[in-house]
Parts: sequence; C-alpha cells; structure tokens
Amino acid sequence: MRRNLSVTAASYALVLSLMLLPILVNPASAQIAIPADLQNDQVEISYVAPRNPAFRPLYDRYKNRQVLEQLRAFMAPLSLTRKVTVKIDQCGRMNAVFQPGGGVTICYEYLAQIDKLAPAEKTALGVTREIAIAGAFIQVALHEMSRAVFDVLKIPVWGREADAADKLAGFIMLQFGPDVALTTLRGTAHFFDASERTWTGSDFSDVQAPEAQRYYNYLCIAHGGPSSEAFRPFLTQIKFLELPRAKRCTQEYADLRWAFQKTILPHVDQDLMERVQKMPILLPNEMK
Amino acid sequence: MKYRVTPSAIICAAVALFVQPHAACAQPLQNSKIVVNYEEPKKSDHRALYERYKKREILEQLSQFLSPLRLPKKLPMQTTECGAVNAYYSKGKGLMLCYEYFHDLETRIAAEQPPPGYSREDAVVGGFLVVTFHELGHALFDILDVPVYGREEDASDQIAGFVVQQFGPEIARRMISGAAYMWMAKDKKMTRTAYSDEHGSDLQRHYNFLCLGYGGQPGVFKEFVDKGALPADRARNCPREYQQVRNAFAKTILPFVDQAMMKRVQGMQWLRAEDFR
Repeated sequence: MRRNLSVTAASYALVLSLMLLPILVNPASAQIAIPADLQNDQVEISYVAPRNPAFRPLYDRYKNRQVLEQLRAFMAPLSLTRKVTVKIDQCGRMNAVFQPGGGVTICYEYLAQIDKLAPAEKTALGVTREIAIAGAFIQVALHEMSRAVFDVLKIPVWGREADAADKLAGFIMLQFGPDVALTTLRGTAHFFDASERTWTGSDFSDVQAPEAQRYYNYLCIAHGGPSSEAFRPFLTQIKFLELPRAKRCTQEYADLRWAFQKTILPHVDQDLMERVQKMPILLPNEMK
Repeated sequence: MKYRVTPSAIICAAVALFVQPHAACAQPLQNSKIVVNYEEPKKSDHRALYERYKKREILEQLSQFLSPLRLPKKLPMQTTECGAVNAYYSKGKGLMLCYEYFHDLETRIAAEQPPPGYSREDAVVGGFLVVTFHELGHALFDILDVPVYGREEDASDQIAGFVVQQFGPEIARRMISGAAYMWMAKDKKMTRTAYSDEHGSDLQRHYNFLCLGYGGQPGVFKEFVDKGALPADRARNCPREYQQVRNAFAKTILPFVDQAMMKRVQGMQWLRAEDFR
C-alpha cells in the first residue's frame, strides 16, 4: 500500500529550497545564517576559479552568495555513505557528465547560458529575470545532486537517469509551498522554453532529453503536485491543460512521490531535518 | 514426518544428474495468474493476425515464458481490436495487445527498405515482443508497486530491452535491432506539442534500444557504433545505462522471480524459424 509522504520530508525539502532561493532571487539581501555545525560532512564544496575571464563575474557572484555552502547545509539530514564533491567549475562544454563514484559539477558555461536566456524584462507570463535565474540555477543544482544521490544510495532507477534526476528536482521544488514552487518551476520552465533548439536526426541519441520535452515534464510535475491550483492560471495561459498529457500528471506525481518515499526517505535523519526546519530562510521581498 | 520416495522421483533425480537439471521432473511451465484470451476480430484486416497468433499459441507461450514470475494477483492478457493503433495496459483489463498495432507494424515495415544491419522480419518479431514486454513492464510496475523515478514509458522500454537480451546473443541482436528499426521506420515529424507526450520520440526510442543492446552486449552491437548508427557520444554511456537497468531489475523485479524456473525458461528455445518468415 502506498503511503502519503510524511510532513517532515516535505518540510525538509521546503527548507532546502528556501535556503537557495533568496541568494539568487535577491542577491543583495542574501545573508542566510547557517549554523556552523549544520552541514553534511560528506559533502565537500569548491568554487574553482575559471580560466576564462568571461566567467569571472559568475564565479564572484555565486561564491559571494554562498550557494554551495547553503546546498551543503541543505543536505545535512541526508545520510550519505561516501564523500560527494560539489563544485562550480569551467567544463569546456555546457554540462559535466556525472560519473558513478564521482562528484557533482555545475559548469560556468551552463550558468552563463542561464544568464543569457533570462529575460531582461518581466515576461507576459510574469517571469522576471531574477525568477528565471533562480529557478534555472536551483533546477540544475538539484538535478545534479539527484544524480549523486541515486549513485551514493544505490537507488534503483527505472527510466532514463537524466529524466529521473529532473523529476526528483521538480519534486523537491514542489515541497516548499506554492510561492516557492511557482518561482522555481516557472523559472525552470522559462529556461527550457527559451532554448528554442531544434532537434533533428542523431540529436535524439543524446542522454539528455530535448529541452521541449524537459519543459513539458516540469509542467506536468507542477500540474500533478500539491500546488496544482496555484499553477492553474500559468498552465492555462500556456495552454498546457489542453494537452492530453495534463490528464495523467496527477498519477505521474503520485508515482514520483511513492518512489521518493520508498527509496530516499529512509536515509533522511528526522532530528537534523527538524533543525534545518527551524532556520530562518526567506523574506517576502526576496521572491519578487 | 515420513518421506515417501516414489519411483518417478527416483527416475527424475537420475535424469537430472546425468542429463539436464530440471528437464525431467520439474513443474510444468505455467503461470496460473496469467489469463489469456484471443478476441475474435470484426475487421477482416485483422483476421489473419488472429488466426496466426492463435495457431502459434503466442499468449500461451507468453504465459509459460512468464512462469517464473510470482504475481500477487491475476493478470489478463488478450489480443483484441482496440479501434486505434495502440497497445496498452490498464488496471482493470490487463494487457491489451491490439490487432491494429501489429497490422500497422507489419504493413508499414513491409513497405520500407531497411538500411544495412536491420531486417523486416526482425522488426516484425522484435516489434511484437518488445511492445508486449513494454506493456508487461507497465503491468509489473503497477502490480509489484515498483518505484519508478524516470518516465514510465522509457522504463517500460528498458524492461523490454533488458528481457530480450537474456536469451543469448543471436536473439538479443535480432530483437533489439528489430525494435530499433521499428522505431526508426515509424519516425514521425516532431511538432512542439508532440514533446509533451509521455512517450519519447520515435528516434529517442530507436537510440535507446540500440544503446541498451550495445551496453549489454558490446561485441554483438559493435557494428552499429562502427557504422555510426549509434553515435559514439551516446555509445560511451551505454554500458552504464545497461548496468543501471540491470540494477533496477535486480532490486525491484528479481525478488518476485523464481530463479530456478527462470534458468529453465532461459534455456528454452522460444522463437522458431517460421516466426521470421
């Protein structure tokens, strides 16, 4: 029998994401106090100085905002059986391929692409530049961490691993309440929608799904999850609800929640999670 | 408790020792939880398929093939007219293998000239098997409460691609390349909203099958990489992808499989020469 996801797990995810959001949405006010002892000792972080000077502003921005320190604190309740290095580095291409036994790398090239695709002005869908950057960064950070978590915890993964990591990232984004969900998932959707890449022939051999497919996958998670009502105006505006896929999203989300509950939740320390939950996280003006 | 040794048991034991384990005294292959039915079609187009499947006893064979699987409840399987080119699993109806789907497959494949490395016959047989095992994958995920993180349609393709590789290199080569060709031949033009489908695009599925084949048996599928049919960038990741599927199978499905019976099933000849005519 499938059980409901526990409140604590949802709260953990909420705290996790809220810790990351203000840093990117409103950099000037990004002063989140992280207790020195609240971190995951198995997570080692590093901002690698880029060789390409064009990436220097990104290096400074993300380092000053302590995104990786917050991610490490966010991971505190999760019991990992080996060290995981999380770094921001220059990769020579958009994505670093996660290797079993390896660490997580978020590439400056990808962060530059996030900046490039973020709108200069607020879009007709209400996506500001800040929301677009915050959503897309949180998406890539959670996606990459998800791959590491699958590997470290030896979680059975059915389906293409990159899609599985997207789905887990989307699931976590939805555990923060409707406001955070709207910010992160609309920002994520904007990033994939704005790519406008056309796929042909052997492009489809890629381990990553086409951006348009990832866009719809995230929309489906948004529609099927607990903040469905909050997403309704947005999803109506982009006509997602008219698509056949929309009818199946509730079941897709239930299946995803079941997978999380059965495979990851047993590795979460409830006491640490409660501590993380007590941390001050987000000011109202940080999500505009 | 007293044990009674029957003459037949002694014969069985002797045969098992000298000939082939399980061959003489094993339980007959059958899965009592699988209920099969060939629904008689109304359309004349489907009559030939109905007759062929029934005569070949494909559903009975499928039930035997699945005898190692310990299912907690009944699983109906039927060939039927669905009114659309489709095949699906539903909680209430079980596996619905639609004549329309296989009629379309055979008609479409007959009209195509396969590129080197692929064959029409393998596409028809491989197509039938992977579609059937794909729907079976949905059934197993549902009935066995299997956690699925990725897209379930891809996961079901993975089950199909994994299962057909467990019967030796020749079957693997023919069924995987057949399935890959089926998807290549089907390749639809992708519109923007087509990406919203829960299924991957035809070409994604084509490459996924080749990748699973190459990942599982690199020597058998090397020619597809050498010829560029499976790009090198993807091929590098395929052993890992196969391992991922193997691990997922071992952790989530294998606990419901009778291992001794599975070995018997693996040792049997399931496909016949006439299947490929």
